[in-house]
Amino acid sequence: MSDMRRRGPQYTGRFASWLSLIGRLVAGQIFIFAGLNKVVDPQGVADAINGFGLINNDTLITVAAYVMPWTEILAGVLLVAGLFSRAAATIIILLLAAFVGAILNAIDQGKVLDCGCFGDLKLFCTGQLGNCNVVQNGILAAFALLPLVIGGGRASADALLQSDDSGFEGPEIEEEAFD
Amino acid sequence: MIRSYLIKLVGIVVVASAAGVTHMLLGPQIKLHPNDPEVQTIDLGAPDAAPASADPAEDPTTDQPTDAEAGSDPVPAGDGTLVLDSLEISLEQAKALYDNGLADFIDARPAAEYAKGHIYGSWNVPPSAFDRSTPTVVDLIDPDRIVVVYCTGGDCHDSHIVIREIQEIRPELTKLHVFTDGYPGWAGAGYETDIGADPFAETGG
Repeated sequence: MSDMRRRGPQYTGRFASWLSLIGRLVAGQIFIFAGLNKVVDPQGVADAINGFGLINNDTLITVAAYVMPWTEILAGVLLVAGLFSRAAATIIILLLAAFVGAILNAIDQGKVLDCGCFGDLKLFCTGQLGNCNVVQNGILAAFALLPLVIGGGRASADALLQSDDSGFEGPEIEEEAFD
Repeated sequence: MIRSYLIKLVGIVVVASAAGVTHMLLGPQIKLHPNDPEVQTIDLGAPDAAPASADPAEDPTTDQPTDAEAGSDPVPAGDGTLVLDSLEISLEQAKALYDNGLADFIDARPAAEYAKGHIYGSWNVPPSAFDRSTPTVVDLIDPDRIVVVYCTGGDCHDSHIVIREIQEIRPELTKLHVFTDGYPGWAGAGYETDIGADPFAETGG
């Protein structure tokens, strides 16, 4: 930090801009991958939601099984593109918070479940649902938090649109909060 | 600024919901529950009336333990009738079926849980066994036999998923039931259990 202070706010801005880019690409791509795995198997998603036992209405489970994967894909694509970065990051963090809540509830009740986080695939956490899945979602949320706090940052559509609006090359970071 | 942010947030949710609902209308219908089984009234006084599989040597589903093997206390002849009129059966009904050799048992829990302990003579067919191919045991189920599927009890849905998958592959099987108390209920009652992996599970079952 002291090095950044010596170099001034411009250096700090560039660093944050890179951080945002990394956060966007990691969280966005993982959500696109997870969404694509789920969108081809709505029955599996419905079974996974049903297994958690938090929704007892068949219609709601069915709607969630179809809407959730598309939400993940859309938010992931927007995050990777850096378009509406903060809104997309918010959606991803809210989804992750809901997943963590459901996982903790399942662990608390001693349920033996598959996560269903990436459809049938077990990407980071093998075995049954457990604390690994909570940590996994926490790390993903940390990546998604970067564009939420910093903004679109480097190589984002948000920055491009902002520079077009203002008529000059454009800032490294969006200056306007939650735009 | 906040207003613009909220508009974008709602916009993403609306577009994703529209895509999801369109997919729902055009996509395959989701089925959350298995079909109800046929109603059966079984005379426990005449357990021999239940049909048995033709060749026990080739059919692993008939490898249920005898009462002597399991050391159980069978329901005595003439003890009454057992009525199976719903998908879900109780511990008493499952025990009566088990003691009289009237049903094959399938454990729908993951292989690791099965290896730690399972109902003696049960077969391990978790939902994930259907991901790539039909589990071996499913092909060998005798249509005349009752099949009892269990998992961890409570609101565990894996038994329902396994029955639904079996019904999709073999619609002629109409005697599939869920044992709702599951393995914890069975083991808790002190009934016969076993440990170790299911050799058939390794080849797809």
